[in-house]
Amino acid sequence: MGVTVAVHSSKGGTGKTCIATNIAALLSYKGYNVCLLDMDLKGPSLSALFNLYPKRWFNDYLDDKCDIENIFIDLSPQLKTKGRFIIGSSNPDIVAVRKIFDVNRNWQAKALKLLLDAKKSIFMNGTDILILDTGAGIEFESVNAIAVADLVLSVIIPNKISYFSTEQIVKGVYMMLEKKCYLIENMSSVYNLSENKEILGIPVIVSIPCICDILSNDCTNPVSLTNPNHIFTQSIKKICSTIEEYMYDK
Amino acid sequence: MRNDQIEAMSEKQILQEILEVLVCIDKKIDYMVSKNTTIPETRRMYRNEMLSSGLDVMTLLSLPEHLRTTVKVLFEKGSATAEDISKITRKERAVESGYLNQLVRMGYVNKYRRGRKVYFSITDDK
Repeated sequence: MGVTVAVHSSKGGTGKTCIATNIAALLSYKGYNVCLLDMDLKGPSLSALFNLYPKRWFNDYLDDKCDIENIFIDLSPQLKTKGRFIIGSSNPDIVAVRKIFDVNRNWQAKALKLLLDAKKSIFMNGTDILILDTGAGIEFESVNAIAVADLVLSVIIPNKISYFSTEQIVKGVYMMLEKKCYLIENMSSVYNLSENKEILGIPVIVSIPCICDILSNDCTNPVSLTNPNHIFTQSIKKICSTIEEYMYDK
Repeated sequence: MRNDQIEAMSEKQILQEILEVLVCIDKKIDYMVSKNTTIPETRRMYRNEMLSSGLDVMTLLSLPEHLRTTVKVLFEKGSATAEDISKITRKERAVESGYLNQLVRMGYVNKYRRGRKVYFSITDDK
């Protein structure tokens, strides 16, 4: 079985989606079959980011309206990656987003089981790495993603609020679910690619500096593919190496 | 109250804090009994929903560690015997059997027989 990676953060706006898409793109460029799944049902991003309008959304799968295979769009031909790069999007329509706020605990319990089934099916169909782009904080959808992940990458930004809320989630969720986790410091004042560093007792893979051209990039073509020498791409490579090391140790 | 605030308190202060909370609860119960208060319909519905639901991830987080470990393995396996789970958790089969039966009583796990073996699975609310 392949490896499932959840990209999470305690607060919104830390760059989860940007990091998750670039990790997924670079790993598929290296030849891995990668599946990127938008688990932020209350604030979906991937369909807008890649201009995707699938016939079926991840929401349809969770509502038992289709199989998980029906939601994916293959971006490998467009991005010219060696490995397969498929994306499952959540529905960004406001009616669909509002509906998620109305679901009860029974629905969430069922969603967790369906997510486990989806994971099995995705790996049976040849995926090596499943990347879950989660919503921020402690929501049912994001904690479901963490529960099914093998590895959690928690994105923090260097300020007191982010550190404090991350500490709460490390203790109250990651450790409780016995997850292997790493931190990615984004929008940092320093660029730290090689020095071993720990925050809150968790290893930091990389400190990515605040880079304005990343924010303005439309991401339809991820920077990690279009600009291999960029500082951001170097940071993404370091994160990918950590995932690969985890895969081989597993 | 946050964990770091509690850690900074002496044992006496913690006991005083607990006592104040208990006194407050006691007063509220006395008030409800004297007024013959019934649980509002919406709250009762929510409670019934909680009891009838399958096991969601927030409930999983609130379980004690030993039960949480058992449930996590059961989630991964789909359905399993106590022996299957004990091989992964490296606990005695009888211990896992006890945990699983406790989870059955809590309504989170189903128990069924297939041939001579007893299987357990997470309660499905479909």
